[in-house]
Amino acid sequence: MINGTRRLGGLALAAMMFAAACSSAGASPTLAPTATPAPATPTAAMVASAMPSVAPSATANPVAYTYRCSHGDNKTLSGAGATFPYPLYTKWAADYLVQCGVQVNYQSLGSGAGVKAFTANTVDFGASDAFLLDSEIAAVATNGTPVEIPVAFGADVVAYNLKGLSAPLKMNGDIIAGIFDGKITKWNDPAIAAANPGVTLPSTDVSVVHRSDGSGTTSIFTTYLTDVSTDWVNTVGKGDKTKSAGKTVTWPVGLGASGNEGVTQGINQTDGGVGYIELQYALANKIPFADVQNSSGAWITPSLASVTAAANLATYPADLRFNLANTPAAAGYPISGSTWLLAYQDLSKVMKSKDRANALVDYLWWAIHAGQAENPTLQYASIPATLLPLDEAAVKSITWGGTPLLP
Amino acid sequence: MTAGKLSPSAIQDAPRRSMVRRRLREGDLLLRLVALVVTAGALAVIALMMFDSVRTAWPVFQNFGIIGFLTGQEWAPAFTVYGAWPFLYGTVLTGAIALIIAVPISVLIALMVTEILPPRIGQPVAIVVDLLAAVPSVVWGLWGLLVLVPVIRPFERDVAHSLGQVIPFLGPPTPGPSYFAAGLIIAMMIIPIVAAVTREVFASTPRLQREAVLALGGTRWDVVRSVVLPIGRTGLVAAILLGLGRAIGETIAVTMVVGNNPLVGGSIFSPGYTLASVIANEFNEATEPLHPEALIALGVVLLGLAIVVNGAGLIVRRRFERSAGRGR
Repeated sequence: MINGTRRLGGLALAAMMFAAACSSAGASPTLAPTATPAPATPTAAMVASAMPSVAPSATANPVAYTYRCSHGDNKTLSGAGATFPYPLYTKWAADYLVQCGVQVNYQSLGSGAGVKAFTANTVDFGASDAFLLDSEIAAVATNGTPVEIPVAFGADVVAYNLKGLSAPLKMNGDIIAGIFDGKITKWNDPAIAAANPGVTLPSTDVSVVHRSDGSGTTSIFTTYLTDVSTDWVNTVGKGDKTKSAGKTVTWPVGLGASGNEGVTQGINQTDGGVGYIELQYALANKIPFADVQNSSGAWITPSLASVTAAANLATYPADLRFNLANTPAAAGYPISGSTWLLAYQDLSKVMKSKDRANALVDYLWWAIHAGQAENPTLQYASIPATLLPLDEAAVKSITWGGTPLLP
Repeated sequence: MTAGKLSPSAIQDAPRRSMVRRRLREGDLLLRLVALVVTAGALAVIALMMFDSVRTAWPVFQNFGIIGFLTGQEWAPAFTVYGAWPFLYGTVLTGAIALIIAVPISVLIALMVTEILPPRIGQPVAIVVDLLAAVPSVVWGLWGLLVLVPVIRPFERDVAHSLGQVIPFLGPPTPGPSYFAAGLIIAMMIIPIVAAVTREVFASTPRLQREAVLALGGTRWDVVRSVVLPIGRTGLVAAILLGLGRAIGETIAVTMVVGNNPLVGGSIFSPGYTLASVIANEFNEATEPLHPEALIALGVVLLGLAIVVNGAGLIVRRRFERSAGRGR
């Protein structure tokens, strides 16, 4: 008996070491420098004059700007929250370490946990796939007013598995809602046929796959459906719009799968399978997905460009808490969403040193400028031109006891 | 068999012996102290965990009642309705399927290795089976999703459309991911554990008793039937318990193939859910009121289930031991 257990233990240990070796090997190449290292001049007196702009990387944003590299008290910053932008924030952190020498530790705990950590002030910045609710803003009142900065945009696509189609299917809000609330059960349903004239649709059963894990992807998707379909609101939310949209809803039909990869497998393995996945995942894995009709009646193919277009609104609310579902933008893809970085307006209330506050605003400023160059390479849509000045104003509104931290 | 006997030289050399004894006593004291601290620490961690989980989950039990929560059929965070039954049912059902598949196979593997194969071949076979235990859970899950589910789907469909017409518990629909798929994956994951323990149990069967049966003209099967299995019964229960413990707590692999449907499926081919899976799936983004508390409450239920299973195992073992004592 002892022999057996010991052998098992040894094998487990060996497997762990193997796994550890693999992961460290996989992680190191991301540290490859993309730009000339910044001159290390960590002084507290940097507030007064902006540092000369650091030589930008080859893929730098063309917009002219200058940014500083305050090192804070120990050359680190910490953030926590959404999992959706995690690959992007990790890449930013690697770039920022090279360019500024500040280590940004981001924990992808999920948006809910990110807001909690932000509320409890255990991190320098929070991150969430949903803007803060009024109740959440009230809950952080002791820390001051939060500043919410949209920094990246994503979308959900409706992916499907139907043999013999030459072009992407066209779907509108009613069709998508009908599929996911169980009203449409066959692929040759008249509603689908009407939107796709000339396409021979099979009579295959529709089999729905949805996310089983609480996810911002689900939130974007259900927010869109809630916006476009009263039928969806009545079926899933029993008439209540706050209950038919969110990270977890009560699905009337379908199979729950974990993560984008789980949903994709669920779709691929079933003839007639359909589900929603993140645009970036669909693009990276070349999965067929539908064109969706937006609020102006145009059929939009999901792409980084059409998602950026969706975020390019004529007006934004002053607090930047906006919803991109069913965007009014004429060229915008309607099932789009944003992800926000969260900070406090008066950092003297929540941080021990002004140095650290400087380090944070410098990072935020960098993220909405130089950081944006990484967005498309990782399949996130960038901040649209109309929004950038508002993001800049938001970062500049951050103060130390009323004194602006950025010039 | 000579353990405990002192060597002659130690008896002769009295002063040196007392020194040795003193040193032993000091070592003894140290060992006791360290063991006490470590054991107390382990107990304290368990106690703290239980206390804290129950305390955090308390609002849920208060809101729905302990029985109400356990038997609640609906899980709808958006509506602040939380019932544990679909998950409890899924955990027990997948665990049962896993055991039904894994135990006979494990016992046969153990018998093959200890009774049938010559040690020269048996040892390598045992090592390869043990190797399965080193496959990480997520690899099992991915393999299950990508390879196993597509392979078993036609089988599920055929059973559902033949046997399932008579027995609704084996009926359609068969989307692929299901209680059955999860049970099958868990079975594969616990086979190496159950087989390893069972093997050691069988190998420790007293040689004299084996030889006695052979001397009476018994065959190998007679040895297994009348000596190896009866004597190994208690150990076998321990092996099954170890496997069941892993089965009800298995998370990632199950999540990938169970279908994640918070409803009680009428057939073993229906997509379902387990306690561990729903916690893993929903905890990250649980923002609805009472949602995190309800998930922790499911954790308490899982802990309770583990205690019940182990308690039942203990009772079965006691009974076996008593009957074995009477038999001799």
